[in-house]
Amino acid sequence: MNKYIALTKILLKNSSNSLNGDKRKRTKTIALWVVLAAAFAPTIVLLFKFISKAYDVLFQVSQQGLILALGISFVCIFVFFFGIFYSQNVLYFANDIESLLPLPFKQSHILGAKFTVALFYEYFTEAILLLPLFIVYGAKSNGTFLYYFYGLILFLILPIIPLSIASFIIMIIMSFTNVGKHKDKLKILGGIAAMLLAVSINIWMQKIGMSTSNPEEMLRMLRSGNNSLILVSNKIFPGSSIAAKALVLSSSFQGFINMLLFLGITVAIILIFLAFGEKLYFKGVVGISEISSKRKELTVKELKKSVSQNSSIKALTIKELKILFRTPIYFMNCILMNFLWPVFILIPIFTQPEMMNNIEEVSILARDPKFIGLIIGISLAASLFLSSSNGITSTAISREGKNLFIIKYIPVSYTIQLTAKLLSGIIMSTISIVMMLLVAVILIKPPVYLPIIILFLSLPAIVFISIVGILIDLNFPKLNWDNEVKAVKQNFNVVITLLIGVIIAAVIGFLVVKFEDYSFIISIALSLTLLIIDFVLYKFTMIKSVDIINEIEI
Amino acid sequence: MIELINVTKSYNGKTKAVDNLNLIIPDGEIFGFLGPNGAGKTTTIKMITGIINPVSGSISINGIDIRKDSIKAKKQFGFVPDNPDMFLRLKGIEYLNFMADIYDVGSTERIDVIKKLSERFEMINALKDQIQSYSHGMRQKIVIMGALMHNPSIWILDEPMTGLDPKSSYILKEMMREHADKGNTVFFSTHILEVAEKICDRFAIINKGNILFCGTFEELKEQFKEDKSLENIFLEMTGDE
Repeated sequence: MNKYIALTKILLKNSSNSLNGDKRKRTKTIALWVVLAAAFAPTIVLLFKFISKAYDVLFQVSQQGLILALGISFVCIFVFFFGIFYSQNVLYFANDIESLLPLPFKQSHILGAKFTVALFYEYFTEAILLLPLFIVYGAKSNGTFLYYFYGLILFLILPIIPLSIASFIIMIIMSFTNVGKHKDKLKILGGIAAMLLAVSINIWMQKIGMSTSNPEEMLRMLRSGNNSLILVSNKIFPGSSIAAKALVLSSSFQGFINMLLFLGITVAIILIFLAFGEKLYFKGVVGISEISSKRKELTVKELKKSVSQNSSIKALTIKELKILFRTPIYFMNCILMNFLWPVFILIPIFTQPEMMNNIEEVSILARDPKFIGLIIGISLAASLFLSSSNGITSTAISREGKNLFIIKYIPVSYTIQLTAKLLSGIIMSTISIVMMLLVAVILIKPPVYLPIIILFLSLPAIVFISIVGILIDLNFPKLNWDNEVKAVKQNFNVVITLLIGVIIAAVIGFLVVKFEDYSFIISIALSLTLLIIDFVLYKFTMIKSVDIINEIEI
Repeated sequence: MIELINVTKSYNGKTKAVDNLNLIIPDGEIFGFLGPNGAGKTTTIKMITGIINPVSGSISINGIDIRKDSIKAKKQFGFVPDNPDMFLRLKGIEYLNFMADIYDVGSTERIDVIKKLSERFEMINALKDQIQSYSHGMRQKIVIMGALMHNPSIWILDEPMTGLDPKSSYILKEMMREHADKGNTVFFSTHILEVAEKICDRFAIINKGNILFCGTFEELKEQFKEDKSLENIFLEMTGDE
């Protein structure tokens, strides 16, 4: 136990991105957060208002507990889903594992400590998704001390079950992929398999939820009042109704029993997880960083074939993409997502054949000239959002880490080097959007010109969010890391860029829907405006970058 | 030729890592840069290569100021950093090709250089594999090869012998000698005194950011007027007393 605590402390310290450092940087960081908070304040106020309104409505049929039940089950499924991503990053791909293996730790010590670090990050998720619900419900229902006490405990232990299950799945997959010669490639395949599995489990669970919830029974439950709808949450994530009941009934003995039950289940799952880990974890971890090598002679013929002269910008862009594709953590976080969006869309269609009918309706709409403007506008917003989500440019500087010095001694101007980084992001985002358009073409069969127009009008949006990403990362690079997870996953620049992407996409979407009649013209105008902004922003970033990079001394 | 004139570097405006340093490294010489850990060796090398900027003073490489005309100045030298863990996900051949692109080396020229260097360092069997799979010494060798792709007149090597096996180390020393004898400059840092003693034409000893000595080994012995080994002299000079 002592060893577990010591290791957890070290890992947490190592991963904390503290605010110390020089003063200017600190003020810059704080300023950024203030701006972001101000930008989100209206949304947060709106959110609180919405929750309390929902409470009032549900209170009339005495089903207000549904708020907590849905919140809790949603957090669980969210943590489970992203836990699949996250736990393979932290448990397996993070290369600090190499320095931990020679130390006299039990498998469960390392697993437990790393799991705890992952757990801490889930508290951020909870703070956004669950905290507002807890607070509003507590205030509205005049929550007692016990309510808040149970709430605190639940907040702390809620992610454990979904994260354990996610980690368990990963552990099993990784113990199979860590064999043979081509471990590095197998690992990536294993990662993809795990993600697909997560998507399927998710859909499967929802399907079960749907099939058992026939309207009549739902209505009966609704009418019976007494927070009976809490049970519905079990269909989203099994067991979450126990946690919800503990809170809703916190003032009665029943609440206590439910709390105890939930605690018991959590402890049992931790113990099972660690027991399996003690047997499985090292199987997947030992030798994880081995790379296949052939040590075969490079013949003169091969040499001549593999050597070709490129401009420095092309060479840099290719290098950037090769590193993104070949480093498992970068591949999982920055590249795979670009190809996965279409899969997310396709899976529910294949599993639920009745959706085909809906698609046919959409297909008819897509051919109706009346809606073309709307479709283009929404696609523009979607492209901007998609490009903001891959995190390639928003970690472009951070990914260099301690090797940032290389940028400074090679005889290529910072402008060209940054442009190459930008290009790598723009290329991947464009591929992502082309993939989506291809799926759309196959499913919806729109007129030929439509996807082409969408692609052209989307390009300025892709470029725009890519520059925004690199501008943020230039100003707040996270360079002091010892494993790649910290550069791309535990990097707030990705979140900030994503938020900016969401906000601007929302604004575009709003404008197009609000002024539907002029949506075609608005879409073109927005795209042109973005083009002009791109130009100015690019110039600005390049001028700024010289001083910024000069000042980074690592 | 590398020229450092009144170069000062401080961190946080207080601790002086390098204090008013003057150093001229002429052509045709192997110049060693000696000093204990944390003496300012790597800081000085980082300033010469443009990785960090001095607070004051000027640095020029073959007469070109590293800050005013940085791209041109950077093309003058080949640099081997103290840690060869870079571009690990690239294959050896891809890395060399990349460096050649960066330094504008023509296609036929680069094939010749790659052939020559990989034979000399016995790396021909490793070039198709990712650098990640290399041992420390092999990584050191591939970085050296990358730095020499454009046949620079000035070599700047930070602890180049670390991790090299005796044979590779011998070959590198031999190459350094050949390069200097052709009238070029080799500037390298080390704390292995025997290496410095054997191959340097001249060397400087730096401690706490100050140059304590700059000259040949004979000059150093003369200055001390005693028949001490370089090790003893070094320990005496850099000691606390």
